[in-house]
Amino acid sequence: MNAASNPQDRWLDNLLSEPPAALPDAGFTARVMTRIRLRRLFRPLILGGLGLLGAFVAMRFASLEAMAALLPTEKIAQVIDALPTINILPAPDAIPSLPAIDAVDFASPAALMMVAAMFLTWLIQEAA
Amino acid sequence: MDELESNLIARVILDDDHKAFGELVSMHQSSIRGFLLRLTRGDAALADDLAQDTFLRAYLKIGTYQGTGRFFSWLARIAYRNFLQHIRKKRPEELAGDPPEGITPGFERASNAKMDVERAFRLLSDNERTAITLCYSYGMSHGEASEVTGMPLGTVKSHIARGRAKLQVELRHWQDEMPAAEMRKKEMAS
Repeated sequence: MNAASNPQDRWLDNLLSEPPAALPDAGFTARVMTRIRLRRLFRPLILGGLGLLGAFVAMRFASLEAMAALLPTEKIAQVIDALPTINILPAPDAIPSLPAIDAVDFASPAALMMVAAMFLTWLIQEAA
Repeated sequence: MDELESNLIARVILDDDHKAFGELVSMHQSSIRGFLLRLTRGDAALADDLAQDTFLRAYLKIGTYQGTGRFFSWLARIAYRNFLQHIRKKRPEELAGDPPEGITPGFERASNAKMDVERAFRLLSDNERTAITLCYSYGMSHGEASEVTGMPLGTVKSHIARGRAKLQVELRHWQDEMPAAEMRKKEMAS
C-alpha cells in the first residue's frame, strides 16, 4: 500500500489494516468434516443401492425360472405352437441346466443376510 | 506457507487424510469466515454456510492446488466465487435491501471505532469491500487480490481508491478526533 501522507490517512490505513476479530470455532470444523463424510458415503450408497437392485432382479428371475419349471410341458408346447412363424422359446427340455445356479437358493434368508452383512461391512469401510 | 501447513496439504492430497484436512479447516476457519462475514455485510448465518461450502469444495479440489502462493489465497478465491454464485442467485430487490442489523459474533467486543468501520464497510459496493478487505485486513498485494477475485489489477486499485474515499467520508468524525488524541498521548509520554 502507498504510505499515507497525513495523520488522518495513516490512522485510517492502520485501522483498516487491523486483522478482523478471531471467530471461535464453535463446532464449525466438526460440521465441515461431517458434511465431507456424508458426501463420501453418498457415492457408495448409490452404487450399493444399484447392486441391491440388481440382486433383487436376479432373484426375481430365479423365481420365474422355478415357476416355469412347474408348468406342465404340454402347456408350454401349446404356447410354442401358437407362435408358428416366430419361435423365440426353445423347447423346455432344451433349456440347459446350470448346476451352479440350481444349487443356490437365492430366496433363502441366509443368503440375503450374508449379502446384507457384506454390504454393511463395505459401507463402514468406505465411510471410515 | 509454513512447513506444518505444507505437510498437512501433502497428507490430504496423497493419503486423503481426513484428520489433516480437519486441521487445515481449523487453521483457516476464522480467516475465511471473517472474510465472508465482511462480504455478506455481517450476515453470520450466510457467511457460515458459504464458509462450509468453501471448505467442502476445497476438499474436493485440493488436488488442483499447485503450491504457488498462500493456501489462504487459494481458499479465499473459492470463498469469493461461492459468494458471487450466491449473489447471482438472489433477486435484485433482495440485494438492494438493508444490511442485517443483528449483532455479529466477534464484533461485540470491538472498539467503537472498529464497530463504526464495520458499519461503514456495509455501505461499500461488493467489489470495493472485497478489494479493501483482501489488501488491508488480510495483507494481500494488489496482484494477489487480482488473482483471488479475477479482476484486472487496475480494477482492484480503482475499487480500493473509491472504497477508501467513501470510508474517509463516513469515518470523518473519528479521523478528526483520533489523530489529535494520539498526538496528546505522545506528548504526555515524552
